[in-house]
Amino acid sequence: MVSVGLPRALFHHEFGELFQTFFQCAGATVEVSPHTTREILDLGVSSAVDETCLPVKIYYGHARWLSQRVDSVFVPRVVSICPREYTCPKFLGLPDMIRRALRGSAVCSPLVDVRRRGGSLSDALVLAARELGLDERIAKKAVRSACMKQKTSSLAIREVPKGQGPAVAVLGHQYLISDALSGMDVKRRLQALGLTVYDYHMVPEPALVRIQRRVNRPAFWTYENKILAAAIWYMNQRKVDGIIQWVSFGCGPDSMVGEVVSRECRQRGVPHMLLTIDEHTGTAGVQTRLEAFADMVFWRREV
Amino acid sequence: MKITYPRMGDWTAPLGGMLEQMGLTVVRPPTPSDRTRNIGARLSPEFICYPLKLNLGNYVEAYELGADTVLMAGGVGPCRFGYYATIQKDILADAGYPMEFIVLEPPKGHALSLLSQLRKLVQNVSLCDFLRAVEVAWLKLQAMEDIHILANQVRAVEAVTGQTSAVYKQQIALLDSATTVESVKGLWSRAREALYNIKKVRRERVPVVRLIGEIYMISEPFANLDVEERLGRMGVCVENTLSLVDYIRQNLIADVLRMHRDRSLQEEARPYLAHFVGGEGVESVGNTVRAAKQRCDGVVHVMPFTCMPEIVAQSVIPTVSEEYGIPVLTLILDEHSAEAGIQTRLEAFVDLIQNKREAVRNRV
Ligand code: SF4
Ligand code: SF4
Repeated sequence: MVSVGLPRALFHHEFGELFQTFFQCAGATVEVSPHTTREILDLGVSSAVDETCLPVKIYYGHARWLSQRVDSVFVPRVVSICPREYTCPKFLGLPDMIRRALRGSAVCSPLVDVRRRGGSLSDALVLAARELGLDERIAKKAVRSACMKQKTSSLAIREVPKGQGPAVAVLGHQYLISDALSGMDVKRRLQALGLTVYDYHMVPEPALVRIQRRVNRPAFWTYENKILAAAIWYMNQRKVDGIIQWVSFGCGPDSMVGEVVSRECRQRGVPHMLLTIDEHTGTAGVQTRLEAFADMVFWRREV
Repeated sequence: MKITYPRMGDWTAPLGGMLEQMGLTVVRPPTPSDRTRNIGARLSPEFICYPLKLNLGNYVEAYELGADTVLMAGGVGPCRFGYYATIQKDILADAGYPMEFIVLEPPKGHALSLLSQLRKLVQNVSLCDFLRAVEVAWLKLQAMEDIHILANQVRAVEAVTGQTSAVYKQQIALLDSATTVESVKGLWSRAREALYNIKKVRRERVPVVRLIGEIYMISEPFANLDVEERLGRMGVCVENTLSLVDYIRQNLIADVLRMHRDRSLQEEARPYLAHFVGGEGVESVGNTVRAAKQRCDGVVHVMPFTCMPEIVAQSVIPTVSEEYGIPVLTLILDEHSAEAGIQTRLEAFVDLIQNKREAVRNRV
């Protein structure tokens, strides 16, 4: 039986479950790499170019970790998951970058580009199954059950926290925040400081779409669009007392949209903090900054 | 309305000339200087790409000279360029330099739609004068590119250091002031002659290096720390892969004339990078392959710090370099880059190329 490796990084945080269910149903052995460890990160750092961002380095690490253990590593080329939008240039070139790093190990990289016919996620999965020599009829059925499962699990994420105290929104790429290493457990840290924590998944989808339409010139990056719209929504609804942006060092899209968000915050007098993370960032420094930010939020509430 | 536009080395001078000829009041963006860079870096978010910072510095300087409007191109992703205008406008307004932005939307392969967007700006000019201005600018651009190529060849063998650059500068300024097709043609051949007449030394074989990378970085000498001139002075002939003439032919004119677009660069890149990644990522990879096939001695890859398309290119170019055995030097630049460091790295690179050539010859 063919074995497929799923790197637990980047879009895996969004579609991982779907991928896993699909390949299992389609009859492959699936190996998902473990949560990011220092060892995995080091693998990534040693094979990626210095200048690239942390999430991509982490992805390299997971792919290399898997390459020794499976027949083929699944690295889809996720160009676009929303009409008229892109993910990030680095996603567009990811399979080529990973191929270079894995030298010779098999990489399966179907195209996901919803702006084209036959470019949907399910099309890509069926294509991958064909490439791996899996039964196509079974694969098509597998897609359906995988999508069902994805739907129920994505509803679960949207549960909104309840709390009376001051609240902050932590905005950033899900793959950066949910990662065991680069996320640094920021949500739990903030909750421990007595804050209610929101993220962009908790904004109702229709509201996100509405705001995105109203922004005078929306960005063409799917994730950044959500981050910007979520920031505006939370401020409009007066749900939060502060906004924290969690960004990777060297992230191109965030360098642009981060600027727009901080400008919006300044205009409305909402505290804003940009936390830039790279592979050298220590938790102690981050904790100090989070505490200072929490202090300020509490203090502003009192006066 | 006083218009300025983003500068890309000498390459945007024909645009300035064209707008002037159409009767607009134009404030030419000044040649970037340390001041430009400092203004740009101070106003911009830290990790935004370097071209945006220098553009911004240029806009502020143009504002001080009276400009109130910026004319520039737009984009629809996936790299940051398409978002430049939005961000720059906000930053300028906040910093007390309110400017209007006229963004020419990317014409999806049609020069005509671009021209009609331009035409709306200058309705009081007769159509005939409008088209003449376009024609002059187009010819001027071709002339400038041609002279640029020639200057790079001559500089590598000039007898008196610095002479080529001086002549080149003079000739470009002359060309810039021309306003008719005839005068452009005349100045063009005069410029060629002036470069031919420069005293040269005899050299066995001049090493050839291709310059590749992000479009702004390879077009603006201030941004790339004069990499062409530096290499030229070391006796290297630099072939700059930037060609706005080609770019316009491929992207704006090909569809109008129903010609086929030349996809050969994408094909060269395909084994290493099989999908476009925005900016010049694919072109950089394709040009490296092409340089190797055409037996260039080396490739210098210039990119701005944090540039996404070029990071992708940089990640796969080592494979090309290994497979073809062509040396590649990557220079990642931003406002903190120091001239001394670049000079040392270029010198080491040129040594490497020379040694490699010797080794090959000894083997034969
Ligand atoms: S969006 Fe930013 S963090 Fe994500 S891959 Fe692109 S540059 Fe890296
Ligand atoms: S190509 Fe690179 S430098 Fe140019 S706008 Fe895009 S990200 Fe910035």
